[in-house]
Amino acid sequence: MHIYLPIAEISVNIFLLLAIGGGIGFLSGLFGVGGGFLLTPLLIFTGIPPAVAVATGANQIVASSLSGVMAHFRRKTVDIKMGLVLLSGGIVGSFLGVGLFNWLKSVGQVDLLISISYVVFLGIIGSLMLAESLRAIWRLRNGTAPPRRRPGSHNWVHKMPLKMRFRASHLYISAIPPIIIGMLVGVLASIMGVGGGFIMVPAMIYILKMPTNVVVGTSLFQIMFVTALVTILHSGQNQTVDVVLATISLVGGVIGAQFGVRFSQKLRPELLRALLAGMVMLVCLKLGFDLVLQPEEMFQLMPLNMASE
Amino acid sequence: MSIIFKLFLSILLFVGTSSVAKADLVTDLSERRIDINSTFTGASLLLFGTFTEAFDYDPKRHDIVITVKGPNKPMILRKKAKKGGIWINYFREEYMEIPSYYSVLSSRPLEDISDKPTLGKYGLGTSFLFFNPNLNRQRLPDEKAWLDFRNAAVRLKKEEKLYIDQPNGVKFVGNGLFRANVDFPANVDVGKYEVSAYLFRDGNMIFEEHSPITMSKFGFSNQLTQFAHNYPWTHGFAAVLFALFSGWLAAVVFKRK
Repeated sequence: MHIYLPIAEISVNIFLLLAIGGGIGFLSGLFGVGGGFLLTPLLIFTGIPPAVAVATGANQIVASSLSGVMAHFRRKTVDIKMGLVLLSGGIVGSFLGVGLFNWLKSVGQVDLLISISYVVFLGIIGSLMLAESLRAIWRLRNGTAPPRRRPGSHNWVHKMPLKMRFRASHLYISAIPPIIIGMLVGVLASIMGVGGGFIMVPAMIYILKMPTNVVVGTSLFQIMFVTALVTILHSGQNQTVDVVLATISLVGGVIGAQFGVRFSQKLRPELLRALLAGMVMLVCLKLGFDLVLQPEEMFQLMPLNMASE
Repeated sequence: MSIIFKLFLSILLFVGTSSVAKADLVTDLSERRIDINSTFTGASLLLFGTFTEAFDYDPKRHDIVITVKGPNKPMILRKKAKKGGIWINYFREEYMEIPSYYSVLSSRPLEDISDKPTLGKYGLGTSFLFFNPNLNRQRLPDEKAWLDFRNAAVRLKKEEKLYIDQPNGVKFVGNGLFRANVDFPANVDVGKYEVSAYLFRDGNMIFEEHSPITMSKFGFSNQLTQFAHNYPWTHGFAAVLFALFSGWLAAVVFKRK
């Protein structure tokens, strides 16, 4: 059964969309990640215009991050103050990102920007995760203990001005690093249609040294607002948010996530991380090859939006 | 279907005998308005007609050409080139307006019906479609490149089934009656379409008839598109509110489990 997507202006099989949404939801339940960084490329692979895939991806993440953040509020694992500081950077980053997106759209290079961003970030994150998880599996095989991290050790983050106290995170650090991290994530959200959790979570742990229990909730809190802003900016300036597409993939995602959570309890975490890393690398390689290999179709015909030229 | 069709034709013939003397060619369509809703996967329109001399119709002398043209749109065509190891959009050509949809159906291949100047005069066939590049922004080096781009635009439109050549698309069903099926894919643009019918005798165009049809997006998906284009900021807010509601609903439903 096909459904006509009004903004993407194509007819797509509804079960294919549900399956993609379900698959991403399954993965996000399984691995505890948002999954936006896999959703957007998969939507592009099915023929949805990249600009629509990015804007709609952001819209869908608003929904999934609210579900997540509600659970974290109940457990009181959200550092609201830190979230707001990250968000102030995120707002600036979103405007910068959408501005960059629009400029590249007008010169016909937005698809290239999206592809390159994905190849770079999926490549970095995928290889780091793969290396880390393989090391962990190796250690388990050999029975050696993992090296201990020393929490609370001071680094350059603590030498910057504009210090603030973050009670929930037990931190007294400069507001500048969180603002910069938030800004980077805002830019990524607007050009990649992702929440940016895969960048923010490691940055919060390793750079800000936040305790791990508040990291995910705080990151989701910030992601929800940033993706909401990105959705509004893309809708307002580019009219590329397809609510029908977002709803279908969301329905699939919600159901898939439930199965993912249950299935994750049967697998070892190191193995899970290695599998996710492998998948991230596959998507990265596919996008990378598409950039380098001679395309089958050399031409691209698009409606000319006089306003943007 | 066939009974209704025959009924239509007999009415047409009856009316035709009195008025065809004035109008050499009479056609009618199964529908004047096509609605695109959320399950739209394309449409097919039935066109039928007859002409004065149909009673001594001679397939070697008489020909019918039907064209259906969609609303004109400004388009941009880009061509990739390998720069720094990756393929990027490099060359470009802007067209002020090209038909978003163009279908040409004829009783014989066009080149058998008439000569090039005549076909060109009436713009019959994709090779005679007029594409006007924006000369202020033209950066293609030479005529060969222009032609290369124009042919690529037509090819891409054909691949999307938005340009259709049906050299034997007009069928004579007997008694000088002809019929043609015009196909529209799912991705047609909304707006006013023009249906034109041309009667040729011995390679000369002797009568033409034009009539409009309307393609409109209808129902929920239309309202959504209108909303998104007319009130983009409000649409963005609404999309976010809807997402928040869905997220909240999902959290509440699955918390119970």
